[in-house]
Amino acid sequence: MSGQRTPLPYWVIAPFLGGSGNLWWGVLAWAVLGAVLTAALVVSRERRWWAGALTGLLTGGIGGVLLLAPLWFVLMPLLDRRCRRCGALSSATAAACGRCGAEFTERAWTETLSALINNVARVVLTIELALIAGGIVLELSGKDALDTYRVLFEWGLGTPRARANSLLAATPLILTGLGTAIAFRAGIFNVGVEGSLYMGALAAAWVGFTFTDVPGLLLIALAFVVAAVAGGLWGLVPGYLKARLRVDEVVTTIMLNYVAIEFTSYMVQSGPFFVPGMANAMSKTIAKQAQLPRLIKGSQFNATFFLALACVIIVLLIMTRTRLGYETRLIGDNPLFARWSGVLVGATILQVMFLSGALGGLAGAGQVLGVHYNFTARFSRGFGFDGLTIALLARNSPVGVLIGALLFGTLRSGGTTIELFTDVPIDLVDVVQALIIFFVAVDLNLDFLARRRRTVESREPVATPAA
Amino acid sequence: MDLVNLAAATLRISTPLLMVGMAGLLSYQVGLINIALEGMMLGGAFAGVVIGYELGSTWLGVLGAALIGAVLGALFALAVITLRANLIVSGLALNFLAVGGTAYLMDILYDQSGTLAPQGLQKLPTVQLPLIHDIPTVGRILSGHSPLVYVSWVLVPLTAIFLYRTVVGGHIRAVGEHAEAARTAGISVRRMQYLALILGGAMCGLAGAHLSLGDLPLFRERMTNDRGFIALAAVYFAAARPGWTALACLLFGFFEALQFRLQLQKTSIPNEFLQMLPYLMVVLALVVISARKEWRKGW
Repeated sequence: MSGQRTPLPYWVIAPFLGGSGNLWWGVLAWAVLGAVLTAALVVSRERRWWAGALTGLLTGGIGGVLLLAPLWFVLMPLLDRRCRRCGALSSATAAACGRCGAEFTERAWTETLSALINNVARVVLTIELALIAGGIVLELSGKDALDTYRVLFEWGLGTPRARANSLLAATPLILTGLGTAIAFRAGIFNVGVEGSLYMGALAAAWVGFTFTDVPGLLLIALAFVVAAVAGGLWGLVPGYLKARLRVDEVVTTIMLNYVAIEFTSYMVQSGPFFVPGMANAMSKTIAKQAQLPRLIKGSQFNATFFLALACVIIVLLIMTRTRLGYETRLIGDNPLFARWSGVLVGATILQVMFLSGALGGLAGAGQVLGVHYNFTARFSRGFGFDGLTIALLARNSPVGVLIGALLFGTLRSGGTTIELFTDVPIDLVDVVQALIIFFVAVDLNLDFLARRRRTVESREPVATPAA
Repeated sequence: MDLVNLAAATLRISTPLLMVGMAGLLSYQVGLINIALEGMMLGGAFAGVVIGYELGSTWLGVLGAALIGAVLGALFALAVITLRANLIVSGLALNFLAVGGTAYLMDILYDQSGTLAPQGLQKLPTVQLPLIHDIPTVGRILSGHSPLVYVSWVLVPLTAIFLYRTVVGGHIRAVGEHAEAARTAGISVRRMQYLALILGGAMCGLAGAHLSLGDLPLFRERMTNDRGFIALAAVYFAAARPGWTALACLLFGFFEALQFRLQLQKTSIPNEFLQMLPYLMVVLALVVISARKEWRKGW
C-alpha cells in the first residue's frame, strides 16, 4: 500500500469507507442524498405521492447511510397502484391499468421533474449496487474491498487533478453513450458506435495533419465536422442494411466494428497514412494549431468535455422537441404503429443511425485532437462498449447518460490505479461493468416484483381450460 | 499452397464453430437469440485449463469445461426466462462477465495476466482413425485431429436427430414456433427453454475446451475471438437447419484457415484486409439471407 494518499473528506466518499473531517456531516450528507433520490423515485411512480415521499425519505435515508439502496426494492411493491375502475393492482410505473386498461392520469409537472431525478437516481443506485456486488466478489477472493474502493475513489475524485482525469475519461463515454442511446430510443440495437469512433478519429487526424495552413479554430471545427460525417457514414452502413433489407443490426454492427478497427489499422500500418520510421502504428502528428490545449496542469483534460456537454443538450432537444425525436420514439415503441401513422420508418432509421455514428465520430475526434494528437491503431479501450453500458443504464435518457458517463469515467480513471496501489487486478472494473449491465438487464428496479405478479396473473386464463 | 494442410486446418478451425453453431441453433429453435454463446465459450475455455490443471487430467478439464458452460447457460436462462431480462442485454452482460471474470480469476488464482499456460498440463491426444488413417490424402485430412474434432462431427447429426426425431426435440421446436400454442398443448415453455440453453451452454463449454486444450494447453484473454458471433451468423444463414448450419460453419472455418495461410505467404493483400475477411463474410451472409427473404416477400 502506498503511504502518500490523503484521505478524502467523508462527504465525498461513503461514510463507512472511512475518510477525514467530521463523520456525522458525512453520514448526514449521504442520508439526505439517499432520501432525496429515493423519495423522488417513489413520488414519480406513485399517485399517493406524499406517502411515497415519506417512505422514500425513511428508506432512502437508511439506505444512504448504509450504502444499501436495495432496501426499497422490498418496500416498493407495497406502493403498487390500485386502478380506480376495477381495483386491480398494477406496477407503480405502469401508464395504464394492467387488467382493464384504464389510464392513470398524473400531474404533469411532478412527472417531468421526478422523471429527471428518477433517471439520475436509477443510474447512481444501479452502479452502487454493482459496486456492492463487486465488493462481495473482492471479499470472496480474499481482498480488502473497502480499501480497494477507497483507493479507487481517491484516485478518481481525491484531488483536482484526479477529478480532471475522471472528466477526461468521461468525455468520450458521454458521446458514445449519447450515440448509443439515440439509436436504442429508435429500437435499433446499435453496437457499432465503436466502429464509428475509429472512423471519426482517423478522419479527424487526417484533417489535422493535412490542412496545416488553416488557422486554429477553423481547423478544429473542420476536423470535428469531418469526423462526425465519417462516423455518421459508417453508421449508415448497418442503418441502410436494416432499413432496406431488414438485416439484424446486432450482429452486423459487432462485425463492422472489427472491420473498422482493421481498416483504420491498415491505414496507418501500411496504407496511405503510414509514416516511415515510426515505431508504433500511428499517423503523423496533427498540426500545432489543431491540438486542443490542456486546461488543467498534469492532466490531458481539454475542451472536448464541453463539446460533449453541449451534445447532451442538443440530443435532449432533438429527442424531446423535434419531429425526428418524436418519430424516433414512435418507431422505438411500436414500429408497425409508426408505419401506419405515416412515419417513413426507413428514412428515420437512416437519420438516427447517422446521428448515432456522428456522435461516435465526435468521440473519436476528441481523443485525437485533445489527447493523442495523432491516430494510433487500436487506441480505443472499449469506449463504444462503455457507452453501450451507460446508455442501457440510463435507459436512453441524455441526462442519465451524462451522470452515468461521469460515474463510469471515475471508475475507469480510478480503476487504472488500483493495480498500482493494491494487489487487486484492474479487471475488477470489467467485472463491475458486467454486473451493472446484468442488473440493468434483469431490471432490478422497483417494479420487478410487481411485474412478476402481473405475468403470473396473465398466465391463469391459459392454464384454466387445460385443467 | 498445400491444399491438404488447408483442408485439415479448416476442419480444426471449424470445430468450435460447429459446436457453438449447434448451441446457437438449439436456442434459435426454442425462440431465443443467444448472444451469450461467446461468453459461455470463453468460460468453458478457462474452466478447461483451470480444472484440467488442478485435477491433473486434461479429460476432466474437458468435462469441467462442459459443466461450467452448462452452468453459465443456466445462469443466462435464469436471467432471461425466470427474471425476464432483456435477451440481448443480458447476453452482452454474460459476455462482459466472461471476459472480465476470466481475467480477474486468472490474476487472483495464478497471478498471471494475458496468458495462462500451466506447467505440466497436457493437451488432448490426437486420434488416429483406424482405417481412414492409412488412405493417402484423405487420411492426412481426416485423421490425426484432437478427439473433440470428431465429437463435433457427431454432435451435428445428434442435434438433428434430437430436434427432429425425439419428443423433447419436437417440443423444443414447438416452443420456438409458437410459445403460446405449445403452452396450450401442455408443453412447459420454461422447461424447454432452460433445457435448450443449458445444453447449448455445455456445447459452448466443449468448444471452449477445444480452443484451450485441443492444440496448445493454454488460455488467453478473449481467446474466443468472436467465434460465438460468427457461429450465430451461421445459424441465421442456415435458418437454423442443422445440416446447413454445419456447412456454413465449415465455410466460415475455411475462410479463417485461408486467411491464416494467406498471411504466411507473401501476398499483395495487406494483412488487415485478410483479418477482416471472416467478419465481412458474416455481414455478407446476413445481407444475402435478408435480401432473399425480402425478395420472396416481393419487396
